[in-house]
Amino acid sequence: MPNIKQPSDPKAKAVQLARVAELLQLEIDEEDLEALSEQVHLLDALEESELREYVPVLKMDAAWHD
Amino acid sequence: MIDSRALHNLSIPEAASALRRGETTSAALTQATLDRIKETEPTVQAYATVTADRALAAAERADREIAAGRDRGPMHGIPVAVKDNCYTKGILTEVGSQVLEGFAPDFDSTVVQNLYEAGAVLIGKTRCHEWSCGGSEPPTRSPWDPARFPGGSSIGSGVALAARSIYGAIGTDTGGSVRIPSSLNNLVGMKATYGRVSAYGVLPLAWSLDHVGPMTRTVRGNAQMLGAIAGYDPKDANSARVDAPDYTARIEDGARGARIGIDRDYFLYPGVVDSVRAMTENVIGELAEMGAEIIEVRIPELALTSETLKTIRMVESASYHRHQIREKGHLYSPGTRATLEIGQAVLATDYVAALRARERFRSAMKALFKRENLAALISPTIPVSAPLLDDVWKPRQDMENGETPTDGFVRHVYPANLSGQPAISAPGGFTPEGLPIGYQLMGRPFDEATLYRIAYAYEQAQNWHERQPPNGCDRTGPKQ
Repeated sequence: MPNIKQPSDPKAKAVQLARVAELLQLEIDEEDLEALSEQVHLLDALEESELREYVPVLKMDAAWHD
Repeated sequence: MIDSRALHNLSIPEAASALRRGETTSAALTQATLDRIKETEPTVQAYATVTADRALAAAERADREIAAGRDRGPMHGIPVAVKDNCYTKGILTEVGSQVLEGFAPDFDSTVVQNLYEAGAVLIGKTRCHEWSCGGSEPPTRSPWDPARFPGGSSIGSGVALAARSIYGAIGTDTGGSVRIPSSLNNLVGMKATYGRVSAYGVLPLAWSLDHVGPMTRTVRGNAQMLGAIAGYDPKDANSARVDAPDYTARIEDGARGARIGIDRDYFLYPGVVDSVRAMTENVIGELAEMGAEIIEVRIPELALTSETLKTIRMVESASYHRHQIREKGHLYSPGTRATLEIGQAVLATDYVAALRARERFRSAMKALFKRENLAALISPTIPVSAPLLDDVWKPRQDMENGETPTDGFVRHVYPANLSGQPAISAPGGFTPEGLPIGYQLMGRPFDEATLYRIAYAYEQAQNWHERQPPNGCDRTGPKQ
């Protein structure tokens, strides 16, 4: 298993995703992989800086104005 | 009696009134729809399956019930179509995929069951992109201009409505798939609040983003159709235990006093073409003249909504399809397979980061709506008019950042899928080339009624919805 660290830049994220894709035997275009790594990198960075107080919630809130 | 040649042009409310006045029958509406399908399908190819015999039998049943005074409401006797990802008992449900070729479910989705209970007449199933995402294009063509993109993934529902080969249609919306074809086909499309309409029996794309919604030619008809399909469903784990009101009860109350927010930085960014920008400003101006208060807002959290939604969608789609792809991968088109497989490479921690980002966005929207006491946020539904089919995936020549029309399509519609808020797209005008363009209103959860009230006020003032495609639906195709 390759050494997968939490990357902080899209290039490292791309390497990580490419390794996972290889392990799962997924055929992913280089361009798609690049776009995906940029996408998850941005979320990664956001999580690091701004998401501490947010937990995943799936239900809708009917009382926005109460 | 209304001339049978004019029946297909009626809106749902007009058809419903004519039925009750005895000026037509459900059987006549159904026959007119079937005739219209015969006329238009060679050109537009909106339908995957047409169930003519069943429809005529259902129409006769509706006529008998109405004559006997058993009125089921405004959808009673009205011909409708549903997207081919909704289960229909004994009727083909293939979602544009070879995997499901020949598949006829043994039960109805709740949305279809609700339409039946409301007395609607199911005419058939409308085409959609493969598995509602698709890396391959259906043969469906726009009656406004067959060389241009008619929207997706509820492509057949949008085109059938524009071609006047149905009165109301069901679409599904995971990332704009009700609102985008509505905008491109001069229609009203409602993505109601998450959980408002049951998704039971609807083939999923991404469970936590999927919405089922009505598409129609008028705002009132849309409200009536939503009234028929909305409500709690114990069979759908994400269904909301919130009563569905009569969405038409206050539809004529006007836009006066409604506080409507606009984030110009995000929703009128440089990628919005001039005609769409002008349309949006016109709608805003008109609503202000009607007494709505226009509030300038800034929502920095909109910035990562595309990345957040795409991550959630990719992972949930990959989860749904991975076993099937392993066994029947050869039955997926290569583009669709790639789209559905890529999410397997996303780490669980990245998926959770996206879920947390969604909650951050939702909290920001909730705080904004509360702080500004907003009834709605307004924007163009999409930043462009219908692009040429060949250009849909190509970088736009007027943009330096490589943005494609598809990138632009999702920018304004994704936020409501992510937050779960209701959002409506309604006709806002036309480009100089005669292509329809729509505006979007996003509202408070479970307050679809307010969006209908505002959109109805604008519709009454402008009547864009009355414009029809230019000869685009006959056998010879459009006149050049």
